[in-house]
Amino acid sequence: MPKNFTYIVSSLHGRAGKTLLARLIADYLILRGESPDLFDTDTVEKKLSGCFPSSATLIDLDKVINQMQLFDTLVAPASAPRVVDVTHRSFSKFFHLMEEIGYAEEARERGNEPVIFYLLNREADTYTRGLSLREHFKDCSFVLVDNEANGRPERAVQLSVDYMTLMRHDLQMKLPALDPMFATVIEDPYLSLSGFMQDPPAGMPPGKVSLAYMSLEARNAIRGWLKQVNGEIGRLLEMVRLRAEMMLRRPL
Amino acid sequence: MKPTVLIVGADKGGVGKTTITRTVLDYLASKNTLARAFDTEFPRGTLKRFHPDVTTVVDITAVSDQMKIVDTLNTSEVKISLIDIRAGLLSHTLKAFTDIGFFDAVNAGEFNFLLFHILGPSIASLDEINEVMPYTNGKNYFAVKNFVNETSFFEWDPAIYESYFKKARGALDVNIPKLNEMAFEQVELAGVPFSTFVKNKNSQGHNAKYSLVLRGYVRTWLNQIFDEYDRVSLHERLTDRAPSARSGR
Repeated sequence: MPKNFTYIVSSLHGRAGKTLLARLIADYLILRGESPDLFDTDTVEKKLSGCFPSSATLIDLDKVINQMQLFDTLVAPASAPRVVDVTHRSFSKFFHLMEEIGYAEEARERGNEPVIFYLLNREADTYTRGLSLREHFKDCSFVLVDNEANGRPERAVQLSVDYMTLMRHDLQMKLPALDPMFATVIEDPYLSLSGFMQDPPAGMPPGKVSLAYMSLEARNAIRGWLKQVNGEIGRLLEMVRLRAEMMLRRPL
Repeated sequence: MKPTVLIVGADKGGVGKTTITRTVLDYLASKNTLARAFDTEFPRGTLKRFHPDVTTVVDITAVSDQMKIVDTLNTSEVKISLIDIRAGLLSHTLKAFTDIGFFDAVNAGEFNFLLFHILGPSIASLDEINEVMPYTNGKNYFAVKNFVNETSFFEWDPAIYESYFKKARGALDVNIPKLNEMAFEQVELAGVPFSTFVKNKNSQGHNAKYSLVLRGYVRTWLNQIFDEYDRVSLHERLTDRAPSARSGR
């Protein structure tokens, strides 16, 4: 059965770069000619749905009807990939629910492969919870994301067993840091990152202007960074795809 | 194996008697143990809708139907009989069973008897304990607290709580957690046993399209109840084997 993938982007704490990564994955898929279905679980900031108003669904995980809308859709066979931005406020709720309803097993039975992206922070509990998350969903592809903009944890944390164990995880991606001056430019929800990478650039709504287009320096810096990021996302998604194929071929 | 009768009832209505009978049938099925059930919601039947293959609708107030249950206990190949007593008829049924000598036979060791007294969070419900408890002599009496809503069974007031539950010394507490309303309604609509809903099957055994989330809620809830039944050694008690040491209040 051909595999369809659901990319679940999560982190234990806020300001880790979750929504940025969810957006980057979505834009990478769009550049590849796909039309991903997006789910934004952050009902407070609604950032992902702000960037993709026509393809993102806002999900309030405190409501059963919304839980159904999310998981019943994720488990259903589909040809388009899905990206879920799990807000840190619903981190425990989302994964508890995912485990309780047996989402991963049923999704896999129906040809959907869940992939968990876990962004690291500097706090010590990030590593403990990361290990626990990987253990709970050991049948899922688990990608550790080192967002360079978050910096390194303190030395004491780096010497902890949990840190050292988690950092030996094989599937890791690096999210390179973008110059802070330009980082604020790409936060503009009207700026389509996939449109920006097209030649000529496209995707800005009529009447809207992004600072990304205003100077050659900004354009080059953001383009260079996006190329690097897309290369890294492409590498990871390919590894995940190969793993899923190998799992399918594995004798029972 | 000695025939066993489990009466599930309460005089008060709306405390979830049929729901709990359904969970017991699912529990026994999970242990590959056969059981037959009598639905006293005569003539319409409610339990029968969910477990039609094992359920007979009876008029528990009619002697002929009482005979259908009691007189077949020894001859039936299925040794466990569940009786889901409709609201208002628990005391009446226990009295009728006394009159026909059922409890004499239990005391003589001919039958095994268990009572699931379903309690709702109201004084009226707790008042029933005094009336019902003596029929079991305190043995195999299960005070089943059905948390149909966010309630505490007066545990916040130790005086009230003690005044009712101290009379039930020797009783076995069983706590039934609340199931999400939407999940409960979906199973009602589907008209299948809870375990069938979890397996995503319809009443004909074909694949269904029930919500994954709601199935998850039902599975978790049912597992919690099965754990609770295991805790009070329900399966051992129903199959006439010695309960394990962990059971008790």
